[in-house]
This record gives sequence, C-alpha cells and structure tokens, in this order.
Amino acid sequence: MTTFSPAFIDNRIFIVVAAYNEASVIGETIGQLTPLTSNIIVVDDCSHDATSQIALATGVHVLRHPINLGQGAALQTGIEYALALGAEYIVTFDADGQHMVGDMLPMLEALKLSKTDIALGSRFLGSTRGLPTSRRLMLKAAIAFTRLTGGGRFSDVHNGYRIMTRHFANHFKFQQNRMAHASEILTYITKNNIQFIEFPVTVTYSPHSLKSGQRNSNSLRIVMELILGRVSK
Amino acid sequence: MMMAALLSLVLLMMAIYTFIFISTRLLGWLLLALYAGAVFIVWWPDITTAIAHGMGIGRGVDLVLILVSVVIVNVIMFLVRHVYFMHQQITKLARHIAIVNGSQTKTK
Repeated sequence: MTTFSPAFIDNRIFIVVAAYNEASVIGETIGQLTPLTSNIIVVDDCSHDATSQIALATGVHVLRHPINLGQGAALQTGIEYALALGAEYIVTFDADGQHMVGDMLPMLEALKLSKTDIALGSRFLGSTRGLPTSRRLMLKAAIAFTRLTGGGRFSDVHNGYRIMTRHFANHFKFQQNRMAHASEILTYITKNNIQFIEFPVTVTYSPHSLKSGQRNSNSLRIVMELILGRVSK
Repeated sequence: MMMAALLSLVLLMMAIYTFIFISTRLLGWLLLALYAGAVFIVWWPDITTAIAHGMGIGRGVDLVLILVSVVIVNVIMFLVRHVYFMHQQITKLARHIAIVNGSQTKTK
C-alpha cells in the first residue's frame, strides 16, 4: 500500500480526467485517485456509454460536453473548472488506466522543488509495459518531427500525464480540440521559453487502451490539424 | 444569340435574387454591378480581349479565368477562417454548458 505525506492531501490540487466511452475502466481509474483527493474532475466528452453515470456515482465532479469535441477540448474544460474552484496545481490524467497513480506524488514534489510551471510525464525517461513496437516507432518519429519543426526538445511528446501550476493554466489555453493538443502545449512551452521539467512515469498498455488510444494513422491528421491551426490565425 | 440571351436571363435572375437577399446594401450593389458586367461581357466579349491585351495577357478568357480564380481562392480562405472561428465559438458554448450543468450536479 502506498502512503502519501499529508502535504499531498491538499485541497489545492485538482485532477482532470478527460473521458470518452470509458465506462469499462473509469470506475477503476477514479477508485485509484479518490484516496489522494476528492478534487477529481471527470470531463465526459459526450460518451455514448455510461461513463458519466459511473463517474457521478463515485461522487466526483462530472462535466459533460453536449457534443463530442475531443480530448484537448475536454482537458481545457476541466482545467477551467479547476481554476474556478481555486486549484493551485492541476494534474491531467488519462481515463484508460495507462497512467500510474504512484507517479503523481513524486512528480508533484519534483515540480515544487524545481520551481517551474509544469511537469511533463515521460515514458521514455520512465518505463513502458506492453508498448507495441509500431507504437514505439511512431512515438519516436513524433519526437523527431517535433524537434525538426521547432516544437522543442522533449523525450516524450505525446504523454497526457502532466502537472501544471495555476500560473501556467491561467496563461495557456488548449486551442486544439482533438489530438493535436498534445503537440500544441509543447510548442507553447518552447515558443514562450516556459521553464519545465520532464519526469519519468510508467505507461501501461492494455488491450483496452490500445484499442481506444491513438491510431498510428492519426499522426497525419495531427499534423494537418496543427498546420490548419497555424494558418487560420 | 439564343444562348447569349438565355445566359443573360440566368445572370439577371441571379442578380435580382442576390440583391434581394444580401442584407448589406453596398455589397448588394457591388454584386449587382458584377452581374451587369458579366451580362456586358456575354454580349460584347471582345472587350475582355482588349482589357487583357492592355494588361499583357494573351486572351480575354484567360483574364476572366485569372480574376475568377483569385476571387475563389480569397473566398475559400475567408470561409476556412470563418469555419475555424465558428468551431471555436461552438467549443466555448459546449464548455459553458458542461460547466454550468456540472457545477449544479456536484452540489446535489
């Protein structure tokens, strides 16, 4: 059993979980988080299953988009709600069980010690379980693409495990609704010389998370979304 | 002659329709002038050749195609930007609904 220092049971910490059709795992994910804090915000991105109902039954905050907007939009909704409730630290945490709750406290402590604005989880500094080779290659290619296009030097460019300060969340807004949001935040950090740390985390791939997660063919779509996002401004 | 008359009639109907349903008066008159210009070109096509030669373009039809292409590209860019803006507005609206409903749920 993992024990946490009293300093972590802090009403200023909010955990945002964006979910879309995660009825089979959301209950378990929330169950792992509730020992840490009651400040959990599940944003249901208009799921067709019982994601909202299951989350509501646990007593956490549940926001539901009336239409499907994408993970980026869902995270931004949760972040804005967390800020309105007075959050000082906001954790973004995947709903599908890929992330380890045990990484959260050490990452938060590292963020506080570093006095930076955001901690980015990195599976390549940490470890992965069950990562298919094709997915690994795609992620590595994404890292190289990010560096080549001026997106910055990061060891993991598609990890949803982050802890940001209120200061960061007040200034950065996800504009990309869908999967390109992951690249968007890195570009923002690079272009604005935001101080950050990368923190080793463990990412576990299950059949469910592989099925509902990023398809390799979506990489091209992410590039198009980013280009269109820049062109349309 | 008959095709020119038919085309002129179609352009005239489009001009009237546009003038009635465009709410901005200035834009309505501008579009009416463009349609009038199109009818003029239908009956006096050589005018485009004269204008084209003056601009260093070989044929009148090339001039018309270039102008139409420029208009279409600009309209497309405007539409893309407009759609992106609307998308952002819809996102803000959906977010507002989610937060308002969500805050009510939690207090229950």
